[in-house]
Amino acid sequence: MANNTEQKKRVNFLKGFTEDASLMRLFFIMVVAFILMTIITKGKFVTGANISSMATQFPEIGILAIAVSITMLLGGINLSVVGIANLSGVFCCLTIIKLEPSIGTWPAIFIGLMVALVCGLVCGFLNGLLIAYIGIPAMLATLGSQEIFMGLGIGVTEGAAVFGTPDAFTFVGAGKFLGIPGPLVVFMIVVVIFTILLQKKKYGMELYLSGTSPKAARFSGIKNQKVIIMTHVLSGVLSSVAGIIIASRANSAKASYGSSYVLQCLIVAILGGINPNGGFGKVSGVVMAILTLQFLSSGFNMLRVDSYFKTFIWGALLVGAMILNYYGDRISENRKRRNAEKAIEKES
Amino acid sequence: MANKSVIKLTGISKSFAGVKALQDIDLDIREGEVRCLAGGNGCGKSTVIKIISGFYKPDKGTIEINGKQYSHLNPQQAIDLGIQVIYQDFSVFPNLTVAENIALSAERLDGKKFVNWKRVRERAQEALDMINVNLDLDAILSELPVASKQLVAICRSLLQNARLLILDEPTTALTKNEVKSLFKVIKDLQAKGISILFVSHKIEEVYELAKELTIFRNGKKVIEGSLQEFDRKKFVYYMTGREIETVKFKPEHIGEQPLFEVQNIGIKDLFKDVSFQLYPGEILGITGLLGSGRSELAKALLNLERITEGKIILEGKELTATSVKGMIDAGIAYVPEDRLTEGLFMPQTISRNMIAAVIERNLNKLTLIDDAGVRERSEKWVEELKVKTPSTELPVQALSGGNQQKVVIAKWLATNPKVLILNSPTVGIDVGAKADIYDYTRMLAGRGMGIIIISDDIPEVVDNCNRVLVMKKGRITDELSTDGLEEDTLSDILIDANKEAATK
Repeated sequence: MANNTEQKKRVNFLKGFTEDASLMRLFFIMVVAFILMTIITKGKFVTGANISSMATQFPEIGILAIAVSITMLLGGINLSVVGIANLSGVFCCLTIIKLEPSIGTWPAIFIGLMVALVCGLVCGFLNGLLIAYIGIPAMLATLGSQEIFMGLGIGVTEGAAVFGTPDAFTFVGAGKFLGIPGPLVVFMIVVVIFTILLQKKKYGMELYLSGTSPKAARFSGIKNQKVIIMTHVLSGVLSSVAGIIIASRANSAKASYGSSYVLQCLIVAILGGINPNGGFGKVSGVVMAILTLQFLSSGFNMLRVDSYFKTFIWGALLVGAMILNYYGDRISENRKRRNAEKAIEKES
Repeated sequence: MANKSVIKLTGISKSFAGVKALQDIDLDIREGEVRCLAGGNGCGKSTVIKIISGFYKPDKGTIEINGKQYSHLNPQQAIDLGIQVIYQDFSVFPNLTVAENIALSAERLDGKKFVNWKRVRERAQEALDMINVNLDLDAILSELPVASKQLVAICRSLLQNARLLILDEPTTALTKNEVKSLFKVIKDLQAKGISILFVSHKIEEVYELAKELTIFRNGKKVIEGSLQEFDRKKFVYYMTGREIETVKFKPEHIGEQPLFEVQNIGIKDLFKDVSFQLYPGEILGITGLLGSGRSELAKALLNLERITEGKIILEGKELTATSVKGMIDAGIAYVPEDRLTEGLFMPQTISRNMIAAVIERNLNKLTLIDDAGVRERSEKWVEELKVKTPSTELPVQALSGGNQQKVVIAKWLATNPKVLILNSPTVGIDVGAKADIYDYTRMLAGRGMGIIIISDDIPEVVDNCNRVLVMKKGRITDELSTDGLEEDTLSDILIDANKEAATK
């Protein structure tokens, strides 16, 4: 019996190691990227100015990447995150400009933020409805709704950027709280909330299970449609949070901003270990992926490297990480199998 | 045994995710021979078929055909070499005609770019003549009885120059007369020099048809020889590995008041007018052929399909929940037919699978998932149901079929049910796990749970239930006590043997 418990412990330990093996690899890649950039830039990389500039840059894509990731955990996708972000930003700015003269700066900003979040919620709900009840594949539904959201934004603004919000509005995007840049604060809050939501709440468990097998989920009494709607609502709200950061940083909003962001979000999510077939992946992986990419971007920027080369490096990193994951997973699969075989042989 | 080999397997092994499906198998099939391959569920019969037909790649061993050695075959190679498999579902095209089904794949094989319809009909007729069978060439397959579909599948394989015909449990859905005519066809084919590998676990059929016998158990070949050397007892002994004495289920105590009751329930076009009562302590069997509505009925009891008429009553109260979750919370548990897609989240851990149906009962005061509690309870279930696994944090797909099924059962027992419905609970699992599952359900019945076993495995129903309902074409046609019930009697009722005799 003592032998048995010892073996159990060992397997548990191994399991912890193998399950988080891809996170370990990611951590390793991140550290290497950081050290590499520090060396290449001869230390300029670790100056306060650069770190602070990085901290204002990555949160918006990071938040959008989490918005995409949760829909990927369902085995779906959300291609409309940027559309939602811009539309929310536009409504936010328009509301503030409209209300500021009558109710004052801060109340107007507060209402503007609320309008943005509600906009994200409604857009996400719409995506969820299309996918869960009308049965349109997530990729097509959100590709279509992306165009709708962008078109709507362009229609409202006639394609021009929305200017004229008070300087106070930049408190999120350009302000600092306790010396930490505003976007980073928001990002950290989002990460904490979604880590708990995914790992410790009933919703998260249902999300992982439904993403693994909607059929088995149905047989277990999980309401797949509800999970889909909830996930897209959360994704929409997260997108609008990113939209607020973007608008607040620039103190303006534009319906067609950041069209290349969608692909970058996908790269971050996949590099972060989110399984596009659904059911597997963690927020912590996405965080490490976005940090790695930000290190590379900033480093190359300092070296005045052509931006095409930067794109190339991102792509290469993504492909490289997937190859590494493939072999890493095969090794850990085999190890798991051998362990299971041994254990069964011993018992029988 | 002067005939030469058609196919010779040497030292074939194959495992799936840590489970050894086949170990060091030798199998030699000679020209014009009818060999029976017998063995219980999960003994490796289907794996070996799939290796011969090129569907699986063996881990070890060689396949020799016509004196040529192969480490593995691919499906096209196998067909080119004259290997044809008739699976249980026959793989026919239900929307095409008899002629098209028989001849089109042969036409394709000839590399024809255009279809010559006259030739298609000629070839189809030729094939039917070969086995002396008359079928309407223009009949649509979906409208034909099972036995005819099977003959179509056989004809199709003949046109593809079959040298070895593998029949996977071909008699499961046939009536006795149909079995007789199938056997005649097989004997005709044998006379033409075609070898037959007949996969079955029905002893009577095997004696009637085959001369040679191979028995598999737990992925190993346990014995091989001429059928004359085997009597029934020896046959069963080698198949199960023990002198199985099945003890019939006798309920210890049956409650007075019905625990669960359905009144005239139905779903349009699927089943109708189904009524029965289940008493605490009972194990009620529901049996019927594929398409009889048994699975649809089972799903309706958990709201997976919504009934359009009738009432479902638990402990005297009508269940009005419209969701699956509502039924689960009321105390109904359903172990589904297909554990791989319906019962389990294969890549997820054992413990996650076990709480999937009642996540909300595993939260702590802060409504966060109580990981320690989940682990503790999963380990308890693993121990109680004798699941063979080193850890509850392994993915379910690493387990063998029987252990996977135990996880499904644990998942449903974790919902603390009053009524447990098991649909085909022992398909594809080994004898040992099977016995564990039967023992456990009996124990649960002893505690006063109401249990329903839905199955077309006749011995399973006869031995483990105290009462059995027979379903046909969406209705319950018979109710029998299993006390003194012979398997053959139930089997005859199931396939309408009497009715068939009466109409002759």
